[in-house]
Amino acid sequence: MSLEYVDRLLELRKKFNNLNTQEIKVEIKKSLVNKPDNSKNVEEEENSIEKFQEDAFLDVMLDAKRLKEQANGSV
Amino acid sequence: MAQFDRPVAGQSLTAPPKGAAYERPPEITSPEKAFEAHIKNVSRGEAIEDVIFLTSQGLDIKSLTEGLLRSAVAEGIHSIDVSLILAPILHEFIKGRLDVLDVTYEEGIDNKKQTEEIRYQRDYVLNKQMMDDIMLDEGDSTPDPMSLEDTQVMPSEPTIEQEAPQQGLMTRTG
Repeated sequence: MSLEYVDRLLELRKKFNNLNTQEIKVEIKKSLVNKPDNSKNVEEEENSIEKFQEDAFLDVMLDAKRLKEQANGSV
Repeated sequence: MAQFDRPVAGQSLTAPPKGAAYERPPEITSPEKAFEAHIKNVSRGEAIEDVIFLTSQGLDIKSLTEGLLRSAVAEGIHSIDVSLILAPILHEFIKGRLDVLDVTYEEGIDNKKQTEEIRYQRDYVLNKQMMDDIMLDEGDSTPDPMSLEDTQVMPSEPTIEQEAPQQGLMTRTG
């Protein structure tokens, strides 16, 4: 069994590496504030997995960045 | 495949149905919960130690990620579909931890042959540069041992071939 996830990984990296940290923070705030409309429920259900993947990937990236900054600061 | 290196006909019927964990419905169906379970598992101190050891031994992150997800599927924790969703996230998580810990690792997502060729070319250029520097330091006065122009060839004496005396019945006489 081979999980062919490399293309998706590179796609996500490309998407989030271009964004600045401030832009990412704004994007996260927006995503927390916005409430889903009932009319868009069907579309959101379809994209929910993709959205979860993107959000989780971004979280992991920011977490790693934060840890690295902490490690550099402590040295 | 060798002649006996395969399952015997009907071997799949020797175990009770749904005996294996992966034949039953998975314990976790939501990707969010599966993600949490994996992060919790990999964040343990022992797991991090294993990851550092394995990557330092040459195992790439892609193989490691696939192994973690495959074992979760085999144990019936989640399905292969969830593995596909989690794979890039778990890969990035492990990479982030290794970056923080300053461990050298191989990601396993690029072409290995191409990487080796690039490394070879890099080493070649560095070695050539080093040799040029050495030659410049020594100066031009020192003769190059490999140069054919500077090599003095001693004239050799001409060899005189002596004919052996001919004998026998078929010998021609002048």
